Amino acid sequence: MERFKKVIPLLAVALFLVIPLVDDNQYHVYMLNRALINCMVATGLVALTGFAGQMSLGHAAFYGIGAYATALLTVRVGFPVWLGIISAGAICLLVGMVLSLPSFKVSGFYLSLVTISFGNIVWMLIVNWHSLTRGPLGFPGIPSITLGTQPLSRVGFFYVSAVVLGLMTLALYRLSRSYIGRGMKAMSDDEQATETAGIDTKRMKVLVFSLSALYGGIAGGLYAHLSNFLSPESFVFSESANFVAMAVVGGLRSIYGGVVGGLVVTIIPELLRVKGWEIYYLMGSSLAILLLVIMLPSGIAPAVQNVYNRLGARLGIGGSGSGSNGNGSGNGSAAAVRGDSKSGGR
Amino acid sequence: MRKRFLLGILVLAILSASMVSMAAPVYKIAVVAPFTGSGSILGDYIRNAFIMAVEEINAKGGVRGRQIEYVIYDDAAAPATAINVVNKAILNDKVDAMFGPNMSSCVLAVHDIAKANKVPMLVGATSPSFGFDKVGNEWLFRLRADDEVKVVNLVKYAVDNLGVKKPAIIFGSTDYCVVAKDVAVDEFAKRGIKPVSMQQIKEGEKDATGQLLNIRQAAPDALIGLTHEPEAAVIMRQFRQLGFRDVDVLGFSAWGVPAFTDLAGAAADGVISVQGFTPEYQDPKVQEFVQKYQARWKSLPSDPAQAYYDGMYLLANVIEKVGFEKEDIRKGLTELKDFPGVQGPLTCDAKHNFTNFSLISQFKSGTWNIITAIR
Amino acid sequence: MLSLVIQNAVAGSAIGLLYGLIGLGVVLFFQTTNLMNFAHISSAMLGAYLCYTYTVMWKLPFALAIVMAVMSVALYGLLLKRFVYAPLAKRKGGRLEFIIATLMLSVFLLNAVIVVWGGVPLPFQGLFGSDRFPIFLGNVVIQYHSLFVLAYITVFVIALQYFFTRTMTGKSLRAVAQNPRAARLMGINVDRMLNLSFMLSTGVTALAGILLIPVYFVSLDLGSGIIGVKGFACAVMGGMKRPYQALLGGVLIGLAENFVVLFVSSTYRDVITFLFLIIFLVLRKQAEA
Repeated sequence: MERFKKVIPLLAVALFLVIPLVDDNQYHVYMLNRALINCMVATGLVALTGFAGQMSLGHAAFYGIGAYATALLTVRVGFPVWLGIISAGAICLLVGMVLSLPSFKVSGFYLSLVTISFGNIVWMLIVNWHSLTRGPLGFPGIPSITLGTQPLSRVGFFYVSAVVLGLMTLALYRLSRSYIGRGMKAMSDDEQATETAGIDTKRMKVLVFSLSALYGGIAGGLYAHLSNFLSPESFVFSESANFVAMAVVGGLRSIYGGVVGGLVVTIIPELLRVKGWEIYYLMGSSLAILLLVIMLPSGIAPAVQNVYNRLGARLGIGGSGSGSNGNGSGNGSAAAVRGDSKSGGR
Repeated sequence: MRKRFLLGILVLAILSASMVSMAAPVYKIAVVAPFTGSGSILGDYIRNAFIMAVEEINAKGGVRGRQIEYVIYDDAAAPATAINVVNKAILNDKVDAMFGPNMSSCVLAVHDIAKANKVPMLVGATSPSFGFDKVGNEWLFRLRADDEVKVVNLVKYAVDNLGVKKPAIIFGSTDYCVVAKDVAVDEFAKRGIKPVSMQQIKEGEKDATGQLLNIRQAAPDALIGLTHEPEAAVIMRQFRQLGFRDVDVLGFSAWGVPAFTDLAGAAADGVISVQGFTPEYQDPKVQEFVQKYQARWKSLPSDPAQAYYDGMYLLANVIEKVGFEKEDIRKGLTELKDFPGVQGPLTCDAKHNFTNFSLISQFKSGTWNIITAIR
Repeated sequence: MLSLVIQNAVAGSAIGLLYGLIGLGVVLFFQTTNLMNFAHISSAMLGAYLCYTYTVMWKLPFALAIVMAVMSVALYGLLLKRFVYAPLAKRKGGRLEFIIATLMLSVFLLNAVIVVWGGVPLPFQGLFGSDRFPIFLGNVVIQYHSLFVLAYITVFVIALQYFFTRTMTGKSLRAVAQNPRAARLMGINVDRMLNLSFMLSTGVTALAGILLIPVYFVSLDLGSGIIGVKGFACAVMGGMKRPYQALLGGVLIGLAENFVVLFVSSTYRDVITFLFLIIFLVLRKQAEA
């Protein structure tokens, strides 16, 4: 019976993975690729904000640094694409470490202002540093990912991204169950107490910032090779806000929050691109996300999991209170974080 | 909890109400333009003029007996969004031809998709960066004079007619402004002139005093404004207040549209601008277009409107000649010569530009006085 | 050179006070709710557009239009509390959820404004002496509009001070800000105070938006873009404690901007201003948020 319970999520993943094989609409496949890339950034934010309690409204910066890094390395230096993407991730990792420094002293809303400023600085550097980025003229001619000598098709790109996202999620899962992951959760609940307990919160912060920067950078790198063209408009503040919205909509404290939120938030505006709606669809999609956040503040993924668990309990499958699927342990600390934000800080 | 979850699902379900597709023999065209975001000023002009042309053509029986059907897409003036919608237009909605995007960076982002799928693409964006001589996309055509031509004309007029020797340049940060700045600096250099001051104002900034004071310090004899409309208005108002004397103001095409003059009010008086189109141009065909537009939409057309109106007629004309085969249409567009457009003959040149027409005009007590029309 | 420095200082303070006006509302809101409303700047946009509609389209007297616009936006503030804040609080949504909800709200309002009023900035000439020729003090130009702003600020700060220290409602509001639980025990209706705080911060920001029209026009730039972030920056620089200190924060930012243009470059103005903000945030005395 336990096994049956584990089969259904796997089945859902498998169903998702066959979509590009069944549906040969290349626009759908492209949007799924975009969604998978967004999922990566959102997963990084789940680690940073959901698990470690550090707020970032500047993640489009990492996405942008990653994208431009691989674009420059492959076009100007002649790196192979895969090396370009890895280097992009590595560069972002370093930048993420640097950005973690302010978080030693600044938290909460102030930290979000720091990250907004950081995002704006990076964006303005992309706009103004013409010799490097070509600024607003845009960066064309970025090579696609190749498989041997053949450029990878969009379907191929889908599976590459899916594997990368899978690895990222797995890494986060392993991390969350490790000593470090528990330390991070403790830190997000009560930083001072964690410090007193002998856990080095600074190290935690450096680690989680660079991890989520790495995710953002790799996502940006993949995006550069998917779209073959970059321009600064893709890395503005509203993109950062969108990434956080994905993490929140999916479920900040759930391992799968980034994946679910990335898919949902990317697809909603596309669904609303109905004929005659060209000036209304953004109203519609922002309202939909707003409603989702208000109605399900802890996110879609935990809600689905909850319903699923209850259904399971009603049908007599598995233990109801097991909470063994990655999320359960998150709920306790989530409540604590919220408690802190409501009463604390005065 | 469960109830709430079901509500969430319900919202998603309502949102995902899908579209219906039609199967009648029609010629389907995509219009990609900004309707949200920073460029939404232009979307309305483009849509209105395009719809007007389509309605006129359809009323006369369409092209080769087929009615024209159009789908309008919002690119939010952002390349990433443009890639999304052009993918949808070409791969999902299977359009036969595409008008737009109207932003140069968006064109650069998407033109390869049109090329790969052999969809003729007619755009009103004006940056020289995607001319046929630069990107070599044989499916991409331009309906307006490119910025290089316009800036060259503006600089020529400044130096030859106004005797400008010490220009100061203030420019914005988008591709439109930056390309114009580069061309202007080059053109001045060709005449042995170096700008005495170069200042930048970002889109959305409302205070140009710092920049203008630096410019005043450099004592220029002309201010060359290469920004978008709102910044142009900010600059002109503060320019007047800071007490500049004997300085001519010459502005790029955004300085020649109502979105600028309405905002700047009296401060716009005396500004000289290079325009691609102005409803004040007393040419009978232009006036006929202006009246039709006004009758249909109760407002005056502005710069990109006429270009897309011409573009639809031009495409229809080519289809009438060569039929619906995409490759034939592409060839027909390339070989087009002297098609009568609203502002004169349209011919496809080596850069795949159909026109080089521009006007130099001066704004005086509420209207534009045309100084010269350059072909 | 000296007059150039003075002129830049004057212009920088003038634009800085406008940022400060936005920051005022941020502090007022933070004081009672301990939250950040990222749709804060939308109130300024709504105020400006509504005022435009009431005067230019409905042809109402300007003073009445201002009052009506401010009241309409305050009403919107009440709706914000009822339909965004309250449900989130009930479902134990935290600070981040509120930020994201209000961010989405600001996107929604921005696009709603585009649908209703169009994307083109609307001209609204001659407001607050903006058409009058400026005052010259030697070589230094002072705009009439700045004097209006200064006068408004003086009156407003005195009124605010009076309200918070002399009236029962103002005192209750402060009590709620300091300790909601204790305030409740003292018989203060905390929910009503929250309502008031939402209405006050949105209304004040709407008024700021109207005051910003001569500079920003009736445009989308009032509801998006960088001014919202600058409003937060003012509030933070002012220490988030007293509303009028946000005005000082604003002046600081305005001065920084103008002197960067004067001494460094206009291209990298905002890069340097934001670096300045980060450094300020890191070095500032440890305040809890």
